[in-house]
Amino acid sequence: MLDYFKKILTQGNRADDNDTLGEIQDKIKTARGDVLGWFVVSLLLTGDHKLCKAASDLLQRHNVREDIDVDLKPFDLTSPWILFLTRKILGYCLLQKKDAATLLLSCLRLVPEHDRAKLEDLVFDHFLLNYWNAICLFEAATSRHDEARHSVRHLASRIRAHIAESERSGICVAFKPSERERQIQAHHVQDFWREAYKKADEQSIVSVLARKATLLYGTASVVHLDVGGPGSPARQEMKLSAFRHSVELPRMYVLDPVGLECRIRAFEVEEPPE
Amino acid sequence: MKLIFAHYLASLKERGELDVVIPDLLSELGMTVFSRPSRGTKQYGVDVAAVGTIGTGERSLYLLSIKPGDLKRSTWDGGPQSMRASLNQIVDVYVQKHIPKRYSDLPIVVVLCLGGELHEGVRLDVEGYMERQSREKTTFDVWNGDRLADLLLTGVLRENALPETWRASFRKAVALVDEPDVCVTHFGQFLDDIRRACRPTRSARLTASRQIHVALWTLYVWARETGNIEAPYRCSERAMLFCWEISKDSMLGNATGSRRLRDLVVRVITVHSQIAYEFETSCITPRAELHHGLAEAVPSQAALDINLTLFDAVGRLASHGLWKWHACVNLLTGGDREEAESLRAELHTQAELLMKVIGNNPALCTPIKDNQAIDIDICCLFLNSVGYTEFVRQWVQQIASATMFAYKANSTYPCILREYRDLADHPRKGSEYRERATAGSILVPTLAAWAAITGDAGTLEALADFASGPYKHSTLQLLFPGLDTEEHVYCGSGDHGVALIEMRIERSCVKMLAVIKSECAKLAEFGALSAVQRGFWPMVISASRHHRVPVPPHFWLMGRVAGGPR
Repeated sequence: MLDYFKKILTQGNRADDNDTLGEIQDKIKTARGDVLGWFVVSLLLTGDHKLCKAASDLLQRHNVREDIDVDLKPFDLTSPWILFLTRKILGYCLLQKKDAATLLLSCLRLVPEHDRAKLEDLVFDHFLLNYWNAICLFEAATSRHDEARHSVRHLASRIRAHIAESERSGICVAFKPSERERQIQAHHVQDFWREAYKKADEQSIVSVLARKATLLYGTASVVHLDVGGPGSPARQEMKLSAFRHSVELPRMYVLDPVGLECRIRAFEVEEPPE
Repeated sequence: MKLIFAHYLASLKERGELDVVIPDLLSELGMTVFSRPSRGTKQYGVDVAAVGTIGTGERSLYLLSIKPGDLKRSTWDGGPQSMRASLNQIVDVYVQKHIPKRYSDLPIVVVLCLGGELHEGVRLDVEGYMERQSREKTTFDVWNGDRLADLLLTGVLRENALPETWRASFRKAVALVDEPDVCVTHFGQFLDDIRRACRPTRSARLTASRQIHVALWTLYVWARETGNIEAPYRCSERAMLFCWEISKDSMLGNATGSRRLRDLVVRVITVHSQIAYEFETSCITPRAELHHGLAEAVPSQAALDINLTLFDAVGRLASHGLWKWHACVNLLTGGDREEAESLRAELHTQAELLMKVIGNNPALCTPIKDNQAIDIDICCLFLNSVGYTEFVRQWVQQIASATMFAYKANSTYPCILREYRDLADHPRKGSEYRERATAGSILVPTLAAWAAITGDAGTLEALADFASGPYKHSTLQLLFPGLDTEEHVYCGSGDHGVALIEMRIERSCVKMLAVIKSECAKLAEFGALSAVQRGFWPMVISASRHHRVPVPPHFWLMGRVAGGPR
């Protein structure tokens, strides 16, 4: 299935190929966590941009997706390949914090001692500095006999020292943007979200299937529907609920956006080891 | 107004603060100050001595002993530095042996000069002391903060020298010291009023400079209490430049007025340096060691705010470094090797701080505004002059790479937009917008110049390819001082200078430097700038930074060990 998937991704361009691709993607996304993990790693190890991108797409939000689970042992990776995989994870999966943490942890478990420090630096500089609380994901996932426990302990002390130092220095009032600048930024963010909601609304499947009603107040609605036949109109009462989704952005997205993009691009274009 | 000054005076420290203001205050009251505070010489309790008349009193000799803040029991009689010990020395030694012969017939007034108030707890002791020590020719007086504020308002800041509209601007600046943009606008208005109204006489210029000095100090003291040094930093830089503009034509020669004017300019520069130092120690140093430390300290979630703040901060750091370098060279020229060596050590500390900040904040490799080339240029000038050429080479290479990458990837590449609102929207989509946003550039030629200066042929070649390829629509340019520069450069009163446009980025370092040298030689108005002629060349750097005008390329030819730009 992997070969077929790869083939469609790299060569397919017909409409029915696209349908097949969608079906396969959906199947993998809803498969067991270890199957999903295996596909993601296999695709990332190819180093091919399209396939790596597909690996990243597999990790997109899905209603019934299991948490990813990865065992790298069957891949029989040498040290350069583990470092290569790490950089691909950082290049393609950085926005999926939880999945990236799982994938990186599996690399930390397998890396030979002589390259452990190098791998830890990669994880620290490009992952933990972006997500300060991701260390908790590492800690929660490592048991007492875990091969990665020393690395996790080491990384935890580094990131906690960094956080403590940063919190001790605190913010600087002299660097505060002016009131006008703050207002402009607030408008800018509002515009961004307004545009995003509009796009999401336009692309929503619900907007195609159902009629849109705008509720100004309340947490439940009552509607009388003319369904024809006896008992019409039918009274329907509906409790409303809110759906929210949040994505944590890497800290560097704010602190050093061009640098972040540059590093991601460098990781993406890296060729597989000889 | 009086309350503002009373509070200001109460907050001043004795050394270098209160004792600096008092002589100016007396001079503006028409008195002759013949002894000023100095270090190392024995003054027998007298901090300031002056002759003249205050109000309707008779002409007298005033001997002032200055103490900061309130006079309490501990400062009245608590050891050799106490007020009482100083007064004893005045009565026992100064009055007996040290009064100049020409003033020996004058009545003497010994003044207890306090920044704050006389505490009730020691009032009786002080009054008793004054009664006991008073003689027919020697009397005592107490000038507390309230009285000093009165003297300020009848002297330096008197109504006819400082009209109500100017006072209003100043009051607003002080009241809004915690809102730096607004504060700077009002203080700028105040400075502009003083400059426009200043008559072209030495005494008028002296008064105007004194007003600027006192106003700046007052603002600084108020800001110090709010814990936000941003407004006084920007105001002090502007005050220094305006003070130069006002004084530059009357400060040459050995006449007393000229010397006083020079003194005042130096004092305003010193206040600015003191504020710059405080800015560094409170805002930058504590965060310099930390990776992304300075970026994390910006209270904003917008990458734009962080970028603007970081480049501004390093520009300030480097500008202060260049002033220190200037002072160090002056000390060496004056033969004061010991002091120069200590300042040289400070210079290296300053350079190391700057390098740490750059190294730990990668956002400093990705300018968003083309005119951040000014800050980059000042940093390179400072680091290169202190000897950190290799660091400059690497930094310039990183900035060049990031700039080229950002442009090609349509990421936040440097643009010529200046309005915050436009920058917040940058980069927009579309090649037309991209070309408009990069229609001109001082950044690329500046980076090329520094690549050439540091001998980085690889970066120079990459920039040459970039300039003749994807960036060929952009008008690469450098700004040289022109005939109109002297008139506008310090106060930012208008556009000035000669732009060298359609610049070709040469692929060889030698050729690139030859182009710059040749233009510097042809456009030689730089040497005619008053600040350069009078040996205050960092004033031009501060003006460039403050008014966001490119630093003259002549500074690139400044040697590492030379005494300034050639």
